[in-house]
Amino acid sequence: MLLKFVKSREFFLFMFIVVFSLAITVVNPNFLTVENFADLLKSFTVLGIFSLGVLIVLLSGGFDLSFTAIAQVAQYVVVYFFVEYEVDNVFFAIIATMVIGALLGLVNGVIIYYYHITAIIVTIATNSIYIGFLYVITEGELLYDIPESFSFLSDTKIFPMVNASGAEVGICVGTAFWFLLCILVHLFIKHTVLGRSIVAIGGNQLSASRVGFNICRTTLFIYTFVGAMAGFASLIQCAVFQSVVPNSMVGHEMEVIAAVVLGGASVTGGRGTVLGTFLGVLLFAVLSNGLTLMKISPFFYQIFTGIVILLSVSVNALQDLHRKHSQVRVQVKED
Amino acid sequence: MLLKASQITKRYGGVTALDHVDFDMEKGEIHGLAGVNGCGKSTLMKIIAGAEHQTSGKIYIDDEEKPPYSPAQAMKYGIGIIYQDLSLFPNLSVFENIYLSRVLASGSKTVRSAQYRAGVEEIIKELGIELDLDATLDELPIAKQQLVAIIRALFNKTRLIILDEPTTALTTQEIEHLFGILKTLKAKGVSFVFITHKLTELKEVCDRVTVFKDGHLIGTYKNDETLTIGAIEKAMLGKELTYKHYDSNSNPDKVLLEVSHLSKKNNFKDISLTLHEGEVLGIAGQLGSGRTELAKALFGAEPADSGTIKVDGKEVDCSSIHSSVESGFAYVPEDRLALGLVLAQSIRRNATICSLKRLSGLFGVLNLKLYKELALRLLDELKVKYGLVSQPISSLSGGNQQKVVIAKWLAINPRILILDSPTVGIDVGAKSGIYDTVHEKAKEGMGFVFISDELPELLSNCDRIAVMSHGRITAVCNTSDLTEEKLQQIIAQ
Ligand SMILES: Nc1ncnc2c1ncn2[C@@H]1O[C@H](COP(=O)(O)OP(=O)(O)O)[C@@H](O)[C@H]1O
Ligand SMILES: [Mg+2]
Repeated sequence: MLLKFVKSREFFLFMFIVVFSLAITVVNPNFLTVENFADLLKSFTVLGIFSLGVLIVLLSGGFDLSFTAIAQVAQYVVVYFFVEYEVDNVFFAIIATMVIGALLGLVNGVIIYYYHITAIIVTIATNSIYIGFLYVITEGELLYDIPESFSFLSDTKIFPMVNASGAEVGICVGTAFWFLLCILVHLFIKHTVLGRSIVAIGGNQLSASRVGFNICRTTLFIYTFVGAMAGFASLIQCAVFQSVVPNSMVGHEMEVIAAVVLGGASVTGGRGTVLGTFLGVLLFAVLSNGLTLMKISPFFYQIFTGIVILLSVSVNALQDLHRKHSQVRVQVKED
Repeated sequence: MLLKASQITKRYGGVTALDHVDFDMEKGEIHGLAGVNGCGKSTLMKIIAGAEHQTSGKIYIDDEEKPPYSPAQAMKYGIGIIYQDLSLFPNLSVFENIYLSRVLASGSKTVRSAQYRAGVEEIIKELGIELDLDATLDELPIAKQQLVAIIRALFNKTRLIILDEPTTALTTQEIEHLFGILKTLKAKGVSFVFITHKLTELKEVCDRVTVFKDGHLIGTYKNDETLTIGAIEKAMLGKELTYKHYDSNSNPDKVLLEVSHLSKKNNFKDISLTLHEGEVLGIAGQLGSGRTELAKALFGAEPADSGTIKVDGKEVDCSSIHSSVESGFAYVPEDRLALGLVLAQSIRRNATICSLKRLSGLFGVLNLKLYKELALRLLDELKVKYGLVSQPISSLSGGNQQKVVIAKWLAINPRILILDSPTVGIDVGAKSGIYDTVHEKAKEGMGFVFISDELPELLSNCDRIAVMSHGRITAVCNTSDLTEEKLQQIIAQ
């Protein structure tokens, strides 16, 4: 049991994060402060919530490249109308972004399930369509007038502490939501029939349908869920940046997928955990922050994203190969 | 009576897969089902398991007529089917694989697995086997995975378990073990339908044997002393299979293939053998003796770790399929459906798939005229029976499909053709057609490595027979010195 854990991806990531954090701290002692860490987590909360949606799709053996576009649309629509009609309620906004996201995600699910088109193709297409509509209708106009209540997500701290210079520091509500969602998604995957059906479909869809899993309902749920997570993430994003920029998230899909794959999720489906995904995101956060603190060009971050995808996928493939290779096929008689 | 299927007919479009067949099951019975590929065995079983619905005919369960039902309903009736692919989840634990369908059937929204543990452990204890419930399924060998599928069925309170070709991927010991378990369960009142191509297996475990041919019921026979393997074979094939004697074409002065000290960890060890021009070298041995693994190593599909391979005296590279084919090897795999054919593609495309490079000119543009001619010539040479060359290969009978697999390799004139169990499950005409082709090509100097479980087939076709056991070659004999009994003895040693 212990050995299994020590050999796991989660353990490896955890150790890597610890070692890397220590290394950065040696160069720049500002790294290991509550303030820096809370800020870091805040700026990676959006990616973290996206990653939960992506984890669910990857687990099911599906794929999604449209979630950033969904997030942009949900964000723009909600901020625009909330300002227009002077509704200043963050909880309505959370529900509204999630509902819009869920509906756009459902469209993906319907196309993928009923027309049997590969998920990656469908979501590349809907990504373009959603974002295209957004640009056409808004003419790319930015929104700076964000309802005040939204800052509850980014500025309110849950266990506020006061630092040396008298400022309040601590984990913000948005980040707390991310942690809460991690726990909920974990419980959902492990202990509900729907959650298990997602993992089972990712393992072998034909077997799943033969055992009697409802493939249709599960597929629709998966893409709806990614959409809802994207919607929620988008609201936190605009609260953090205090602006709505129609192309601020789109184009960052790969970063999210890289973090999830780094966390041990398999792109061929059936394997992945919330803890791994969380650590994957955390490692991304620590690395990007470390690069900044060590004054290394942020462009390296992009190169790093690509390398992470390649490495993680290769490691997964190598593990499969190793498993296949070490299987005893014939009990060879030795001399 | 547990189950009775009466006058079942099933049509797929124009194809009649089953034509007014009857079938029944008693409680605590092992009922064998035999017939060449495509005769409708799986179709009837899918109907009984609720995965397909009959075009006409009636099904009675416990003497009560049931309208066509779903797989979930079949499970409630106590009927379960274990397909050849087992339909398990490689990424889940053994335990979860077993209880998951039960959770689904209970209609619960959450999974509380602890309640199932005792029940599953009890079944495992009753069967007297060892099984790590917490292992991930894909860490287990196939035989163990199969037991997981059976335990899953038992855990769902299945009274009738249908096993569709369960023994194809098992070694001899594993098969014996499986039979032991079937007999244990039978004594407890569980019934089995057992589909296999190996007639000795039918004789060994079945109470009754039913034979199908071309979607028709030939008969249901009680398995007693009067039922011989020959009789089952005759019922399956419509006529008795006779083995011709072929003259040897082997040229003992010309060594075509020389394998020395070939080894691969967990597969085979220290294999040395020679093959002469025009020779047919048989490889006998139990399943799991390393025969298929050796074939795959020669073909470069799963290359060996060490040792040398020489063709025409020159050492060749067999580290990939591409280089093996360049060196003159070709391979007809055991599992032609999964590995040998592109099922959705046309007969013509399947037949010419290996020759495309040769058929294309400048910039790789395919010469359509040559392409069409070659396809016709190949199909004609092997006497493949087909409707239109543009029809999908899946429309052919098993025997004709196999001929196409062989044709596609013959088209590139390999030096050495490796045949892995080439006649399993095919009809008698196709069998002798394949034997004839082998000897025609041997006359032209092609060498053959012929792997088979059918000893009479090896004895009739091969010049020499090598016997493998536990990953090693234990004997090489001239066929003229052998009888079936003697060969049997050497294999069993
Ligand atoms: N889904 C299908 N569509 C069309 N034809 C089918 C289908 N399934 C089976 N058949 C045809 O029915 C016949 C019987 O097939 P099957 O029951 O699988 O044979 P067996 O299991 O005895 O090898 C074959 O000729 C096959 O081509
Ligand atoms: Mg079949």
